[in-house]
Amino acid sequence: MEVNFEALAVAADLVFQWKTLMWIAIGIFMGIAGGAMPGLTAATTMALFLPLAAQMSLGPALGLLIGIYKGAVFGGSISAISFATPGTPEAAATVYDGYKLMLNGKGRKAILMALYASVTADFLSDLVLIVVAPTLAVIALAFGPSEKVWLMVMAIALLASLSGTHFAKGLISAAVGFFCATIGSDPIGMVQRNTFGFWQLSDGIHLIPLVVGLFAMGRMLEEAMHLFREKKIAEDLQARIREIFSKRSEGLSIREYLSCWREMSIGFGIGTFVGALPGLGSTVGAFLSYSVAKQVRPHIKFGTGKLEGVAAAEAGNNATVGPTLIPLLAFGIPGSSSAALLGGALTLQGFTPNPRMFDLYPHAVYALFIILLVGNVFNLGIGRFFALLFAKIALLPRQLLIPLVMLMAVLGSYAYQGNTTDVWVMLVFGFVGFFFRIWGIPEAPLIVTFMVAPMLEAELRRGLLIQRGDWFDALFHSNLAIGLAVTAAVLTFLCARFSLMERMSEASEKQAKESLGD
Amino acid sequence: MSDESPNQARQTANWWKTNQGAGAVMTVLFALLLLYVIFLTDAFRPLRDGFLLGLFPMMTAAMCVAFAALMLVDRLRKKVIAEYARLDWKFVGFVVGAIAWSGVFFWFLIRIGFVVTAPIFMFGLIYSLGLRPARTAFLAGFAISASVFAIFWIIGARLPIGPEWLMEKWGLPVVY
Repeated sequence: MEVNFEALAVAADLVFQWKTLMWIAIGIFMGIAGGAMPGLTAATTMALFLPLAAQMSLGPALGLLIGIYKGAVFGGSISAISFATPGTPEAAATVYDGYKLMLNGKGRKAILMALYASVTADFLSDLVLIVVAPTLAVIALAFGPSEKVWLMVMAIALLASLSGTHFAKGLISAAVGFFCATIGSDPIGMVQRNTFGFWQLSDGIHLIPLVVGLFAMGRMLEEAMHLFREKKIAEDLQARIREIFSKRSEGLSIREYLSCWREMSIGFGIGTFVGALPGLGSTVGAFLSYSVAKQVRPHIKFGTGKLEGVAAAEAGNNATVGPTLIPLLAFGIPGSSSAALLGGALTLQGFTPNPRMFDLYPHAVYALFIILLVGNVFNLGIGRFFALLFAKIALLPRQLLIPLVMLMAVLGSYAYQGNTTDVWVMLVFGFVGFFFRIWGIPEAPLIVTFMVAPMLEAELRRGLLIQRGDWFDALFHSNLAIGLAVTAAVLTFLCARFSLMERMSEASEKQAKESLGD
Repeated sequence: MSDESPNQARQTANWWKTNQGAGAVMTVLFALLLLYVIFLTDAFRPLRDGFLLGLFPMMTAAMCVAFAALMLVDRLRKKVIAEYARLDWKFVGFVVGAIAWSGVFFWFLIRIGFVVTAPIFMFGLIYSLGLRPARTAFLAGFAISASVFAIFWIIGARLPIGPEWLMEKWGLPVVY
């Protein structure tokens, strides 16, 4: 695909203005703070700020959300290293070596290694996105309705199979998302359906109250449950953090950073591949990179407080950040909840992600690419100079964090369009989200299916119209469509049969016991 | 008096906390949803392209039922869900209360504005989550409310500030 230099200039102009740069910085700051706080994940923080991003223009909105995403994925390592509590699930693999380094008085060194490995892998993976997404989009343009339907089915099936440790629960989440998307009106004739007697729902359920309810409200209710159960508050943590960031504490030399190039390469390679696949995400990227690095370099003795372990895990999780947007930009199908939220932000700005996006709105895509790259510089600077502050923020009492998020959830849902129904919908999904968390049902398939379902229904009906109502021809119009259908079925069967995610979860639990037990 | 032995009663209580128990609850709920879609909506109304209006809703509700039912029979059916097992009625009460409290807050927010309602809402939540003494909880609630108001003001998001009659009397904007 040729580069549209005119659009590139427009995009650069959009990004390199103080307002956009300021929002990237704010996003990174909020992201690292959110990531460092156990209980707030990248998706939760992004969901919380999505209503605010909807009020902004394209550049600041993308800057804020991408900043939060990048910052949160790194931020989780701060609390993982400082007090063995990963701020986000993807930082769990960082605990093994990071916390041991902290106990050996090398906490500062570990945090800096985490930061540099994160930024390096993140930057390289962004370049992969920039090269791969436009190429795949050109291929996707050749797809007709039947191919698109099977591609979406394949993405949903993969996401549902790989999002959690229980196959049935992933499928339930996808089915609920699908059902929620049918509320309102049908996507072709705009005939009202499934409104439960509420005219307010005739426009359907909006994305913002849905994600804010599921990710912010639901998660905070679960956090409150933990708070009720765990009365202990570690008083010695403040002293420990002061120790990590004291002047006497050892920094990281360039030689030490460069000596971990093999682990960072492994993390980058695996993270990039995992990130591009729908469903796997950064947690799998981190654990897989750590395990492979451990196998490849057994003499390093991972798990005993090695910088190499921190580098592998952090490079593995941050390398997923760019590639997770590949399915979104190339096919219009988000591969993770974070990608779905970014896709939602683009849609709210009037740029619906699809393969034609590179032709229709090249400036928006280029702005996204530039923000991804610039975000790394901000991540490096803010992470480097404010790490102490973030470690302290991570200790913000849950009694304050939970009400704060709940207040933002209510106000954000209302401020989005000044629509009272959005707030009631958000509260309902807060309740649903709580039970999803309690029952161990992953939220990602719900969000992604909710976004994809109207497209899927429209494409299927378009295919039926073209084939004059013949279902077989509409679904299996070409060899490619048949191939995609078979691939979707085989992949789903394999994931279910071999319980891939369950095995991975068991392996990581075993690793945790081995590393933290001694 | 029940014939159930204490051991049986414990097993029944534990069963609810397994994947099978959760699956049973979800199957019933989704089955009710499916019945609603089939019988109480225009599901079988044909559209101009020949597609049934309720085909997708029926299909997706049926998928919900089928996948929830899968939890009743799959390999992990007897596994206790750790978080679910720890859930007690007291906490369910808290969750319902917190959602209701948020709803009440919002109802008053659009009537009497942010300035009065937000600090009270925050104080209620912070205090119920265990922060003491009450004065600290109130001050924390007030400070957080002011910070959140500042964020929304900077971004330019529109929020009701105070009671309409009072704002109009003082010549101030009801919503900024």
